[in-house]
Amino acid sequence: MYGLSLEQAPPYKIPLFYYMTGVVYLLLFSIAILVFGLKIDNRFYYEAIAITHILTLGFFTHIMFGTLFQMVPVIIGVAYAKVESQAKMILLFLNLGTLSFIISLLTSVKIFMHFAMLFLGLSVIYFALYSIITIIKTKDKNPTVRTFITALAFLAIGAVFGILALLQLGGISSTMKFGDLHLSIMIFGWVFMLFSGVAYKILPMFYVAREYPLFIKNCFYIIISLSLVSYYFSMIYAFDVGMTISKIVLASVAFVFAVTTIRILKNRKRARSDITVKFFYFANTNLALGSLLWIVCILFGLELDFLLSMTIGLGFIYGLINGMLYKIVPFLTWFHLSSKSVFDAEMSEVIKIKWMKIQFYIFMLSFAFFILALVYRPFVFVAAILFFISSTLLLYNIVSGYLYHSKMIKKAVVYG
Amino acid sequence: MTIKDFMTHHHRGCDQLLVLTEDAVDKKDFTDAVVKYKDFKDETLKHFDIEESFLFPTFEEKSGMGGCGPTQVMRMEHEQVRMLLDKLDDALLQNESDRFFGLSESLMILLQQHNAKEEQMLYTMMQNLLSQQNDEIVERLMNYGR
Repeated sequence: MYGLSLEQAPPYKIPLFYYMTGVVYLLLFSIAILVFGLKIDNRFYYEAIAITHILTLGFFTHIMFGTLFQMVPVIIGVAYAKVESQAKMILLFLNLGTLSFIISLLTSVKIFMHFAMLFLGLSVIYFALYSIITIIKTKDKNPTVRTFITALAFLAIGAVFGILALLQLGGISSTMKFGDLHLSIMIFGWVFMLFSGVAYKILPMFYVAREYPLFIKNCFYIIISLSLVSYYFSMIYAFDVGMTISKIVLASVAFVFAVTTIRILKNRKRARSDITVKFFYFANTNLALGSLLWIVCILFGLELDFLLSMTIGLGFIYGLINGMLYKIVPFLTWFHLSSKSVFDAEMSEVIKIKWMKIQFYIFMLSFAFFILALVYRPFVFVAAILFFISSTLLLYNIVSGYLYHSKMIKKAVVYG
Repeated sequence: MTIKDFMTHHHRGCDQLLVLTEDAVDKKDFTDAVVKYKDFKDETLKHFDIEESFLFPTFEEKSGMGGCGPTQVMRMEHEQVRMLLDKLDDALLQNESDRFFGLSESLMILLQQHNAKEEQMLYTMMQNLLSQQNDEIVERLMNYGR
C-alpha cells in the first residue's frame, strides 16, 4: 500500500526549491519585458520566444514538476523511486537548459542552443518518462491517472517538437509549423490536460463541490489526444480544413471545461470564498474567453497573438498556478510539520492572508495594464513593473512559508 | 449496500457537517456554530471509533497484517485530526473566526486526503477481503453506537 504516508513523498525542501526557483524566473520575465517590450512586433521575434520561455520553462515547468513530485504520492498513491536525487538532477538540468536557451536566443551564440537542446531534453523528457513509469504502477486507473499519463506523454512529445523547432530555427518555413505544433501540444496536451486531471480531484475535495461530469472525466483526454494527432497529420499533409477543425475542437473542449469548472465552483458547498477561489474564477474566465477568442481568430483569420497569450498564458495558466501555490504551500508546510510531531504549527500562519490578497490585487492591476498596452503600447512598462512587484511578493510569501517551517522545526528541537 | 459504500457515504456526511459549521462561523453566529460543530465532531469521532475498534481489527485479523501497515498510518492520521479538533474547540470557545478558518482549512484538506486514501485503497482492500461477511458487517456498522 504505497503512498499512504508522507515518507513516500519527497522532503519538504524539494518542492519548495522548485517553487522558489520558478518565482525567480518571474522577476527575470518582468525585467525582460521592460527591456524588450517595445521592440517586439510579433511572436516570432527571438526576444519574444525568449520571454515566452522564461515564463513557460522558468516558471510554469518548475512549479508543475515540483508539485507533481509532491502530489503523485498523495493523490495517485505511488512513490517516485530515489526521488531526492532525481529531483535535484532534474532541477539542475532544467535550469541549465532554460538559461542556455534564453542566452542563445538573446545572443545568437550557437553553442548555447546545443546546450539548451541537451539539457532541456534530458530534464523534460526524462521527467516525463520517469513520471509515467511511476504512475503506471498504480492499480487504480481512474480518470485522473489516465489523464496524467496522457499529459506526461504529450509533455515528452511536445519537448521533441520543441527541439525539432530549435534545430530548424534559422528561417526554414517548417520551423514555424513545428513551433506551432509544439505550442499546441504543450498548451493542450500537457498543461491543460494536467490541470484538468488535477481539477477532477481537488475541486470536489478542497471546496466540497460536486464531481465533474463523467463525460468530461472519461472523454476529454481522448478528444484532446485525437485532435492533436489529427492536427499533426493535417499539418504534415497540408490539409488546412483538418487543421482548422482540430484547432476548433481543442478550443471548444477548453471552453466547455472552463464553463463547467466555473459552475462547479459557483455551486460548491463550502460557500466561503478565499484567495484561491478568486484565482480559480479568474483563471477559468480567462480560459473561456481565450478559447472563444481563438475560435473567432481561426474562423475569421485574425492575428490576435498578444491578446491570446495574455488570456491563455498569463490569465489562465499563470493565474491557476499562482492560486494553487496558495493552497499547496500552506498545506505542505503544515502537513510536513505535523508529520514531524510539530503540533503547534497552524496553516493560517504559514502565509499571511493579507500578503496573499495584496499580491493578488497587484497582479490583477498588472494584468489590466498588459491588456491596456494593446491600445497604448507604453503601458507595457507599467504592467511589467507591477508584475515585478507582484512576483516579489509571491516570492516573499513562498519564502515565508519555508522560513516558518524552519522556525517551527528549530523551536521543536530546542523545546524537545 | 457494501462496506465501502457505507463508509464513503459517512465521509460525505461528515464533510457536510463541517461545511455547515464553517457557514455559521462565516455569519459570525457562534451559538449556531457550536451546535453544528458538535454534530460534526461527534460524527467524525464516531467514524474513527468504528474504524479503530471494529473495522480495522477485523481487517487486520483477516489479512494477517496485525496492527501495522495501512491501518497504522490511518490511525496516526486520526490522531492528527483529533489534535486539530481540540484546537478548533478552543478557537470556537474564544470566538476567533480567523483562527477557526485557518484550522478548519487544515482539517478539511487533511480529512479529504485521508478519506481519499481510505476510499481508493483501504476500503477497496477491505471490501475484497471481507466480501463474504459484507451484510453482517454493514448491519453492525449501521447500528454502531445505538
